Order: sequence, then structure tokens, then C-alpha cells
Amino acid sequence: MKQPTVPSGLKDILPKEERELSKIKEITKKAFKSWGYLSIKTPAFEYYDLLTAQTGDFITGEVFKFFDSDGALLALRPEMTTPIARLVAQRYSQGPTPIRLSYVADVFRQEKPRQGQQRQFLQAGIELIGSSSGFSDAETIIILIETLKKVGLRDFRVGIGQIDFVNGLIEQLTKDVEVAKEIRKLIARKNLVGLSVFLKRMKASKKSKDALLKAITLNGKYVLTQAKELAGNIKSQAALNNLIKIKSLIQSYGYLENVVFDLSIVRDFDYYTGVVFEAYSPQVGLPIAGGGRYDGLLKTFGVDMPSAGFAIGLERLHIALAGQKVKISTKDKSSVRVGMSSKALLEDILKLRRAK
Amino acid sequence: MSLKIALSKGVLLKPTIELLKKSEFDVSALEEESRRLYLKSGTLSFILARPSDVATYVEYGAADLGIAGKDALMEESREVFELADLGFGWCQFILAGLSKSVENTKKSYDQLGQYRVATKYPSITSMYFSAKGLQAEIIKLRGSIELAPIVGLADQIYDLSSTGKTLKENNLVVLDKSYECSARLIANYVSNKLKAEEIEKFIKRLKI
Repeated sequence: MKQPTVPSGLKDILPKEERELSKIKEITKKAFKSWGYLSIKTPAFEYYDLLTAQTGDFITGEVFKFFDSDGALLALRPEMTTPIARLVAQRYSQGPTPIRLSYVADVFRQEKPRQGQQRQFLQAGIELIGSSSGFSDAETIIILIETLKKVGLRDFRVGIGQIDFVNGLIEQLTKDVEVAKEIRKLIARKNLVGLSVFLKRMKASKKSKDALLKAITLNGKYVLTQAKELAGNIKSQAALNNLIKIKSLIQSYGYLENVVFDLSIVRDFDYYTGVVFEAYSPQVGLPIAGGGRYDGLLKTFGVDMPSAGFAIGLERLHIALAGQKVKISTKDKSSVRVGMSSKALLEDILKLRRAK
Repeated sequence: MSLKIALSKGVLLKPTIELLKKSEFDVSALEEESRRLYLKSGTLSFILARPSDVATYVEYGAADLGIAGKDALMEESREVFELADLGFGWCQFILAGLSKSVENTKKSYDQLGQYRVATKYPSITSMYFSAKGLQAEIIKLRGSIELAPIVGLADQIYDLSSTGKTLKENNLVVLDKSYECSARLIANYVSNKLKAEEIEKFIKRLKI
């Protein structure tokens, strides 16, 4: 006998969970569609070097990779933004832009299983490709908020930051790309202790160091107002103006109470270049969704199309919904079971089925 | 709203309570002699956890904040925010071996291509040796590390040391000093965003 088991970090989805996840997928897809996003699918595995083009060390180390019989290095997709960028560069490089695409797909990472994120997990998201305006930044954030509301999530916030605000401040400190990367890593981990020690060792003005430390700890209602004093360079000022525009657009939709501005959000992917955002729900210890602007990613595939998008972790969203006691789906209707015990009975059943 | 804080039982607990008391938080529940592991005291709730588990409680959001040694945080590498160095609980990672067999160990490294190192912290040990460009066979033990070289289980030990007293008593000498550690205040990713103002107030009140 073989012991029936699955590898750690993987799980079966049984009828009740699947019913609820299906319902969540259905509502999510409908919400994306109502904004004109067309649903697509990409292969579960592709060339390793394309999939990891700009994902950054954090994700690259966690990719499942293997060789095919031709010796090509392949990998299971660790996220969906890169495959979609590849798809657009390959099939829609002539536009017309903007291109609006959406997906619901399993992704795979060899990480230590975390809350609601095993080695295979389900993401739903959108990509808005070929537009660089603040309107498209706001569009993606507004769709995220609307989708979470439509699914029934009551208690959540979307944290919004702008990578260039912090990048501008880092450039005041150093021109060294590697050092800048190290600083960003410390900020992403919000390792304030490590960051203070790191900055102390750097030769740079105290004012610039303090500006960075202050910027990433701002919170509350007046983050953007307070940030104005810290934006002592063109890059940071442009980033701040971008956020101010996004804020006013979100306000027009009446969703301001669902957002917080937080300049410490930098996310773990290397491809982000502008606005970045994450969704939080008190029932889950880590973000339930994340996204942002990635203007350089398609360039690595030979096409210049600035883009933005997000992904929701559906298992984490499910945990949040369950925690908030949101009723997700009704019972399956076809729950009558009939045993096939006599031919006469079978004929009666067939008649009933066909009568409908 | 209130904050839930996971505290490390063991050597860090006493200085942690002292710090909270000095910062004028109500810690009466913590000072009572009891075996309860979850306590409420004023607007704060406390979880008393094993030091190496504190980061886990915090990553999952079972606690908003945590106080744990940097050593435990490094070993666990959980996705939590490190907000402040609390200044107490100082100690340092050291590599140590028997004073009489330092030369032998070096010879054996040349011959066998790796050190045998006993430790309670396999991840940090592996990080240390790889940063040094050296190879090591790491033997994980849960305690009494100093015993390993004496009985020939390992050539060396990689462990925390604050005074060096235990080392001396077991005829061990420090061969190298590395990462310095102290107690840190950590925060859950989501709490740090959703309860940002409360957490900021908490930190401002701390008399570090």
C-alpha cells in the first residue's frame, strides 16, 4: 500500500471551500469585466529567464524550476504580471492601447508556507497596459476597492505609496545602485533598526537621512501634506503630485475612507516604478492584495508600454471574509442522491431529468 | 481599540516588564504570580510565548506587537516589521572551541573540508559560515551546546554569549565574534498599517 499524501505546502480543495472560492472568483471576474477587462489564460509554466525577468531576488529564489527533454530551463509561474507582459509584447505589440486584461490563476512558489499562501495559491487580478496617466493608477486602485466591496468584505483598507518618493530621497543619499537596493530592502522589511544603523554608517547629510526616516514613518490623515516638506527633489515632488492626483480621483468615487497613504510601501518586486498599493484586512496578518505601476517591465520584452495592475490573493481574501462572517454562497441545489438499484427506478429518474 | 503584545518568556521577560513599568503602562497582571499565558492589563493584552515563537504570533497577526531578541528574529526570519531596538538583552554570537584542540580543528578542516559545528541556531550558523567562505556541517542541538566539543560531537560551537562565563567553565575559547543582538520591538505587517497611530503612540511612550 502507498500512503496517500500530498507534499507539504499543498492542499486539496474540498466541495465547501471550492463552492465558496468559485463564488468569490465569479464575483471578482464580473467586477473586472464591468470595467472592460478581458479574461485571459497563460501557460502554467514558461521559460525561466522570461518569468523572472524583473521579479527581484525575493521571488526568483522561490521559483519552481525544471528542465524539459530538450534541456530548456522552465519554471512554474510565481506570479501573473510577467506572463501577461510577455503575452502583450508577443501578441499585441502594435496596440491599440490601453489594453485591459484580467486573470484568475494558480501561482507557485517554494516559500515557507505563510498564512493563506501555500506553495500553490490562487490569484485574481488585472493589468492595464499602455497608459501612464494618474487616471490609470487611480483606475486600478478603484477597481480593487470595488471588487473587495462586491465580494462582501466590510473591514479593509488599501495602503497607497509611491516608490519614486522614496527613490528620490535615496538618490539624495547615494548614487550607488547596490546601496540604494539595500536601503529599499530594509524599507520593504520596515527594518527601522537596520536602516538607522545602515544610514549612520553612510556619508551623507543628516538632513537627507532624517527626511528618509521621517517619510517612511508618516501615518494618519495628513501624510501627503506632511510629505510636502520632505520632498526636496524633483523625483519625490513628481511622485507626491502623482499621489495627490490619485487621491482626488479616489475621493470623487467616494472611497477615500478605504485608503491610507503610506510612503514606506515599496513591495518586493523589482519591476514597480511608481504608485504601489496593498490591501489589508484585520483578520489576515499579511496583505490580501498588492499591485502598482510597472513602466519598465514590457521594455525588457522589447515593447515600450507603461502599465499598472494588481493581484488579490483569493485564499487570503477567503480567510478575511470568513473572519468577518460574510455569507459567501448558498447551498448546492443538486444535493439529492439516488442510488441506482432498479431499472424501473432508473427509467423514472431519466424521465424526470428530461422533463426539465 | 487595544494592542496585543507577545512577550518572550525567559531572560528577556524581567527587563521587558521593567521597561513597560518605567514607561507607565499598567503591568500589574504581569507581576502577579500565575501560570496564565494570556493576560489583560489596562488597554494592553499580553501573550507570554517562547522567545522563538514570538515572531510567529506576530506574523500571523495573533499579536500586533512583539518583543523578542534579534537572535530569535534572525533564526526565524518571519515577515514582521522591526520597529525599535529596546537596548536591553545584549549578547553576541560567538564561535568557540576547546582551548587545547584549536590546531587540531584547523588540520581536520584541511583534511575533511568542513568544520563540525553544534548550535541552537542552524540558519544563522549557516549564514555566518557562508559569509566567511567556509564550509560547515551543522549539528542542531536544543541546549547544553558547550557539551558538544567536550564529548567529540562537534569541533566547535556557534552560540550566543553575553558574559563568557559558561564558556570558561567548560574550557572553551572564543575563536570569533559576530552578530550582536538585543531585544527588539516588532510589529505585524497589517497591524502596523491599520493601527499605525496607536502603535506610534505606544513607541513614543516607551522610555528606551
